Amino acid sequence: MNQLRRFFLIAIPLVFFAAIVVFSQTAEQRVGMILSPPTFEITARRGEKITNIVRFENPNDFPLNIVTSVRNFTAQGEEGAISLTNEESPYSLTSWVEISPKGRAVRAKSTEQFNFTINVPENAEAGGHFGSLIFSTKPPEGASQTGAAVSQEVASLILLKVPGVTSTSWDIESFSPEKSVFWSNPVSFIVRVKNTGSVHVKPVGRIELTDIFGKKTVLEVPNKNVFPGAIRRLESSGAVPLIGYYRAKLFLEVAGKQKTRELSFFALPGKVLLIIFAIVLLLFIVARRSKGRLGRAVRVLFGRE
Amino acid sequence: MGKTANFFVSKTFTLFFLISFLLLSFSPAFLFQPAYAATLSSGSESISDSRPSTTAVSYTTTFSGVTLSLTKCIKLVFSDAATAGAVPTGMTTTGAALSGTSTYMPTPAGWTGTFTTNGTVTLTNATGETPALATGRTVVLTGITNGSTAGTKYFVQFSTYGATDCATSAIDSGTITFIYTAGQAVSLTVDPSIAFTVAGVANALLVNGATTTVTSTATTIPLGTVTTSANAIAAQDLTVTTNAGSGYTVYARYTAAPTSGANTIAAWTGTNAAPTAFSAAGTAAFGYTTNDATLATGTVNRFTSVGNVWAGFTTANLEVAYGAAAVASDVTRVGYQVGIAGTTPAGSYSTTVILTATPTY
Repeated sequence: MNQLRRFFLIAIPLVFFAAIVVFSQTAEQRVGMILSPPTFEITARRGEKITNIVRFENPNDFPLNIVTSVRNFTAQGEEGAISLTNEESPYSLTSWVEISPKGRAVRAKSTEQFNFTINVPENAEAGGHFGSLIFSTKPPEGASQTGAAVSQEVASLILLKVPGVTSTSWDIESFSPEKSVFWSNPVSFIVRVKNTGSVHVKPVGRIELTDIFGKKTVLEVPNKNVFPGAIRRLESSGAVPLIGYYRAKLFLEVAGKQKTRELSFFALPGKVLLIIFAIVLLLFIVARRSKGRLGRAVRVLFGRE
Repeated sequence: MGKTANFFVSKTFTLFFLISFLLLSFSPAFLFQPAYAATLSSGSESISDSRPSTTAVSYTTTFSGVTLSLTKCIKLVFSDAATAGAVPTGMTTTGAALSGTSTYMPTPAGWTGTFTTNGTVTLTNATGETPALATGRTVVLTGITNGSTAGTKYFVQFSTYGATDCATSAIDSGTITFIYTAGQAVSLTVDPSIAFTVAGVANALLVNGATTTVTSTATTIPLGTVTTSANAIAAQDLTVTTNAGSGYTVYARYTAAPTSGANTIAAWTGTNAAPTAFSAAGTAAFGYTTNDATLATGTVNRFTSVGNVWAGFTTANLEVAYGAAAVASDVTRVGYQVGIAGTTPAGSYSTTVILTATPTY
C-alpha cells in the first residue's frame, strides 16, 4: 500500500508536468494574425490631418504581444508585389504617419483597434505617396541550440493621393492574347499598363471580343493600381464560342480618358477536330487495307467504286 | 505517292473538312465549353426587417467583382448551410417578387422569376443581359417571410449562369451569411482582410523535395545539433487567407547570419532569383526553400521546377509565397537548411527569421 501511495505521489505530478509541457508546445504550433482592412486608398489635401483605424484580430487561444511600425514600400515586378523599405523617396509616406499604440498585448480570440494619423505637410508634393502599417510579433528569446527564432508580420498598405498639379500619364504597354490560336476555352489576354506619371492610377476597362458573325462577348479587365514608374500586368479571361476568327478590342480608361488597342486571334474546337481527324484517318486505313465488305463500302464512300 | 494513294488522301481531307464544317455549324455543345465560374467579392445581404417570422420583407443581395458577360439566369438559394442544406425554418420565398430597383440586370422587367420551390429563387431572361458594371450590383427580392429562428447563421448561395437552365455555363458565384434578430435591421458586410498563420512542421516530412530532420514550431526553428555528416532541415507552413481581390505576397528575411559569439554561418550561395542545390553535408551554409510554384517575380517556378533548390537569406525581404487573387487558406511550405564544415567553431548559432505577409496593391 505504501508503495502504491508512493507511486501515485510521484506519477501524478509527472503527468501534470508532462501535460503542461505538451500544451505549451501545442500552443505554439500555430500562430495566426488577421488585419483589416489590408489596404487604404485615401485622398488628402496639403496640411490636412487624416485619422483612421485598422483592426487587428488575434484568432489564437493565447495572447499575442504586437509591435507596430510604419515602413515605406515600392512596387516590385508587374504583379502588384511590393518591396518594403526604409529608404525615403518622393513617394514616401512614413514620416507623415503615426500609429498608436506602438505595442499592445492582444488577448486571445479578440480584436483590437489601432489608430493611425497621417499629417500631410503644407508643402507636400502632389501625387501618390505610399507606406505600410506593420504588425509584428516578438520572437522568443534565448535559443539553447542552433536554429532561428521566428517573428511574424502582417502589413496593411496605405495608398495616398495628394491633389494638385500632378502628372497623370499612362499608356498601354502591351495587349496580347496568351496564344494566337485557342483550342479550348477559356481565352485569355494579358494587358500591361505603364504609369509614367507621378500618381498611382487604377484603370477601368473591358475587352470586347467580336466573332465572324458580329456577335460580341465582353470580358472585364481587373481594376488594379499601377504605381508611378511601374508596369502592372493584368489578366482577363472568359469563354467564347469556338468558331474561328475573332477581333479583340481593349478599352482602358483613367479619369475620363480612354485608350484602346486591337488584335485578332482564333478560337477553334481542338478536341472535336482531333476526333474528326481520327475517324477520317481510320476510314482511310480501312479503305486502303480491307478487302471485305467494309473496305468496299468505304471505297464506295470515297467514290472509288 | 501513287495515283490511288493521292486520290484517297485528297478525298480524306475533303471528308475531314466537310464533317468539320457540319459539326461546327450544328454542334454548339462541342464548341462552347463551360466558362470558368468566378467568385464574387464584397458581398452583403440587407434585410428590411430582420425580426423572425416577419412577412413582406425585402432582401437586397449586393456583390462586386461581377463578370461582365451575357447572363441568362440568376439563382439565389436561401439555406441553413454554405453549400446544399435546407431552407431556414419558417422562411417562405414562394410569394416573393423581383423588384424593379435591382441593378444586377439592366432591365429587371425583362426577367422572369420562378419562386415555386421554397427557398430557391431563379430569375431568367431568354436573350440574356450583361451587367452594366462590375461593382455594387444588387438583386432585390420583396414579399419574403422571414425564418422563425433568431440568432442562427443562415446563408444565401448566389450564382449566375449563361444559360436559362440555371445549371450550365456557370459565370459567378458567392455566399453571404445573415441572421434574424429582434428589433433592428441587419446588414452584414464582408470586410476586406488578410489573415496570416505560421505553423510548425514535424520531422520526416517533405519540403520541396527535401525531407525535414527536425520538428519546428510556429515561433522556433530548432535545428538541433548539426554535424559535418548530416545537414539539418526544418520547415514551416505559411497559410494566407484574404478576400482582397489583388492577392498577397509573403517575404522572408533574417536579422543577421546565424551567430555564435564572433562566429557566423554564411548564407547559402544560391539566390532567390536563381536558387541552387544545397551542398552535401560538410559545407557551412544557411538557406531556405519554398514549394510555391507560382511566385510573382522572375521565373515563377524557379524553386519547384527542379525541386530541392535553396537560396541564401539576406536582411532584405525575399519572396517565398504569392497569390494573385483572393484566396482561402493558401498554404505554402518553406524549408530551412543549415550545414557546417569541419572548421566551423563549436557553439549554438542563432538568428531571427522574419516572415512578412502583405497584400498586393
